[in-house]
Amino acid sequence: MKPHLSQKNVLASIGVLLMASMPQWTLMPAWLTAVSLAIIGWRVAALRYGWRPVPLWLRVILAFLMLALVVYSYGLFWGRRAGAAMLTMMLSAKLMETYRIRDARLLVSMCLFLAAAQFFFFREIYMLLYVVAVVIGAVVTLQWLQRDDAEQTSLSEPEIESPPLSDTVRSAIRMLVIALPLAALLFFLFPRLGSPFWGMPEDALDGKTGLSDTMSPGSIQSLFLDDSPAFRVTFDGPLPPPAERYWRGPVLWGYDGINWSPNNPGYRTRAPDRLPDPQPDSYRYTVQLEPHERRWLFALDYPTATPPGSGVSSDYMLFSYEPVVSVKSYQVVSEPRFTADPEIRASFRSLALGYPEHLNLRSQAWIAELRQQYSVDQELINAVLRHFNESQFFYSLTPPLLGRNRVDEFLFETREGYCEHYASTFTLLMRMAGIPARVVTGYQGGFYNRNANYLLVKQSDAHAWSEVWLDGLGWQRVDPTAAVAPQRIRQNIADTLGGKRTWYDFAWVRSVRNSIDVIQHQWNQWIISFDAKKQGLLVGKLGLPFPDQAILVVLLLLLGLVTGALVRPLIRSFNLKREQDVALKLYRRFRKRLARLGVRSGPQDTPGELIGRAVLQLPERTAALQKIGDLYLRSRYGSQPHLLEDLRTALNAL
Amino acid sequence: MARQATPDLAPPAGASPNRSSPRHFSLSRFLGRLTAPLWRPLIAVRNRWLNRFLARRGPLTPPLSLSYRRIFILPTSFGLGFWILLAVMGVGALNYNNNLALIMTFTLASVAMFNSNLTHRNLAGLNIQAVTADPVFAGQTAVFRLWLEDRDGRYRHQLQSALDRIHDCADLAALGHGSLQLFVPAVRRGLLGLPRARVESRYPLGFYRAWSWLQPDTRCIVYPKPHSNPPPLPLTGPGQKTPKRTGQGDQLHSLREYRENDPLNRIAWRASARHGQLYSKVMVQPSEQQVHLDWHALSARDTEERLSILCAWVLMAEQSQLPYSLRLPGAERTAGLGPRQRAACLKQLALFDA
Repeated sequence: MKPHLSQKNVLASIGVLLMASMPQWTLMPAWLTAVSLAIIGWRVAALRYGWRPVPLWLRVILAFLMLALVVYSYGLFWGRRAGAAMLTMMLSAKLMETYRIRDARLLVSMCLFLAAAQFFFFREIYMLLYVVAVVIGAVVTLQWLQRDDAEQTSLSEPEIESPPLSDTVRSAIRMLVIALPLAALLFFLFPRLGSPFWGMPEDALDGKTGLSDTMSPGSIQSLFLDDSPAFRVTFDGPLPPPAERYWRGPVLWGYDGINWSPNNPGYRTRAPDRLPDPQPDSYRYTVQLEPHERRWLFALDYPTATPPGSGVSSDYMLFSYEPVVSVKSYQVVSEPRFTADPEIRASFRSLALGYPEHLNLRSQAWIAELRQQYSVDQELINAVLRHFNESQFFYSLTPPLLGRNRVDEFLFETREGYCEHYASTFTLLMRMAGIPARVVTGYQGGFYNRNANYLLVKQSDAHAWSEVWLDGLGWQRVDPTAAVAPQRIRQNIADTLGGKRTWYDFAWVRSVRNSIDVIQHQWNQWIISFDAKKQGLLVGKLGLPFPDQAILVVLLLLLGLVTGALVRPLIRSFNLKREQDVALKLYRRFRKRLARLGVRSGPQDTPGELIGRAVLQLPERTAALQKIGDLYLRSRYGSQPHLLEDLRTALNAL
Repeated sequence: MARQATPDLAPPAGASPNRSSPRHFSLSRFLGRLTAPLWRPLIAVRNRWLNRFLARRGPLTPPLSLSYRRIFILPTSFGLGFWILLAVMGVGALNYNNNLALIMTFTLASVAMFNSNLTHRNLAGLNIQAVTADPVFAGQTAVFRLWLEDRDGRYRHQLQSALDRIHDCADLAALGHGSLQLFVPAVRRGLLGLPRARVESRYPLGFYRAWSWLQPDTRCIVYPKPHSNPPPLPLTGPGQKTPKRTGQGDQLHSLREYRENDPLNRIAWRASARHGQLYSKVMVQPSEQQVHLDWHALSARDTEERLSILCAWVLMAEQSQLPYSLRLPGAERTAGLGPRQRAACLKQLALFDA
């Protein structure tokens, strides 16, 4: 089994594997992580106690078992999560047969692949720093592997040194530094794909964060704890007042007694009858949406036109034709004074009036009574809101659980809940009273960052409200939560509650997080969401004609040559080994300085000869030159290293 | 790090059998053997082309400096595999427009690209001052030594010498001297040349192999293989039967403990000082005997066997410190003893042409 792997390199490869797969542990089911760690542990123990390698048949069986585990965890339709998990498992399995340099090289290279795959799941700057550490670890290991390879392929006993770890890390970093200019150039100029080669099956997506397209008990509650950003908005012009910041997401029509669902067949294909015309004072803004792996986009009421690659559903939900899998920027103009649908279609009307009639009988009786008092729809709505406001209703994130007759229990017993309860109850009451109504989910509010001029909307800003259809006025937004907890609409969720949601939920932590978000915002804007379109704008700014791919390639080649010339000194100074001899280094500097003064020298010159010649040519500096020569000889050969500093000062004085 | 020339000529490859190449089954080797008849003419064409190509780039005979035009560089199989991996990563990142993955791919691609410069630089400007080889006996392994020097002030890592495979590997200090060995089995006596050899480097990551061709004109003298069972030395000269007389004479024979009445000028002062005890020198009169190693005395045998026996005799005579002379058809060497005599005689035997 030669050339075999030294113990150091087995451990180094394991280290790279651990580093590369660690982010994956937070995403995989725990048992997959456990299996992966068990194999790694076995390999370390095998190294320590000299256990025999696993026979091939067992390795094959184990590999298939892992495949089965991944299929069991993720199903047969593999998305990127399952793919990354499988890669992690297979790399751990590869460790079982990593006994040769070739195997270790393959393992380390694939670890780089795994590290790159983490960017599908993490987009934060700290992740980039982490992956840089993985890359440095991998390059260090590859250097060690090459050293082992050179040592072991040699027929006779080789005489090569192993540089200290610090030198190896240093040269790894230098290799990255040399590579960076060209990498940056490639990043900005490499022709991007306007449309992907292959799409993703929707089964592959498993939108784990953000809103879902159904509203079931507790679905929004889980988001209240999540302070990660949902999207960021930059306005051209004034911001809407806080009470108007309703970011519209999925519209829910169907109710089965527990869950709300879209239940709106063909909402993607059927466009609304008309879109509003943009007015001069309409809100104009750019949304930078964090990927949620769903189709819907968020916008204020009502979008006047659709961004490219998206459409508007019949209930005025903005949606993308493709699932949003990477940070997506889109521009919207919203006109809030628009009256949508002055006429309601019969099919929509019956959909917006449906409710399970055998449930919540007490509420039905209560609203029927109320209806007799208020025959005008608007008055009835106000009466219900007044009821929410004046009776003892509380806003709470930890309400008691509700049973079968949820509306009855909420309305007459518990009277405690958050937006989900209020929106659901209010919408159902409206339907019982014969007013078409629907639930709208999305986000409300946002943190306005004054310095960077953008609005940060977090997952914890998730909200649900109602829309009712009034004759002549069309669909009107009604937020029953505002009747109970008006401060929820003006402030954010954390400030509304007062109490702490998690142990680290302090006001100052939130404010620091909100300020730091600027960095991530810029990062998203310039790096994460850089695409073919922005590339075109960039090339356009350079004053080039309409940027097509040929121009990009030519530009890339030209600037590539320039970059090559720029990094040439870096490559030349890539001194493979750090010079330990400080005196010699200083002497080289001395020679260079003399050459600038017109005294040339070659490697054949002894210091004495050189200084003699220099004194002849530069008689006015005789004393300084002789002092340098004396200091050099004494510090380098006279074991008087304390003179080095004097030598340095004398040199600088020259 | 200058390496000392090893005086012993034991075959280094055999001396360290654990360094022999791995012999487990390899598919590529198997296929290579199977298709060898197809490749052989192609290899011949390639060699002819390479010869002409290299001839245009200046002489390959040391002393030389590895200039830009002499260094070739190609990715190793690992390097190729790494580029393929990068291509897959790049296509995936481009497809999903995942910019962080793309940045990483481009950075790694630039690292891989500039690594070719680093590998090339590790070799560029290296001086190969000379190639030497000490004489060996047929059946042993000739060791050719490439003497290297760095004049650019760069530490050079993991320089490798190769023929069919890598033979040696060494670092070379900045402005330092060093050497790399090449091993060629010496099968027959005579002059042994070195096949076209390479100096290589795969530093720092093994993505690329940079190499330079060398065609040194150094010849290794291969002495005949000493006969394993030679006839006894043909002793001649006066006093053939007289035993050696020790005690008196001009040559030192041995030391013994001091006895009383030993003359003072016989005391070995230095040895005595070293051991804290007095020793006396025992002298001997050099033998009057001589050996005449004569080709014609071995008339019954064929040429190579005669040379082989003569070779063994030279070694035996050296061992027993008997002056010897050598007579070959058309060449003759007068009696003598010592390394120079030995080398001259063995060289005559090595180069003998009937």
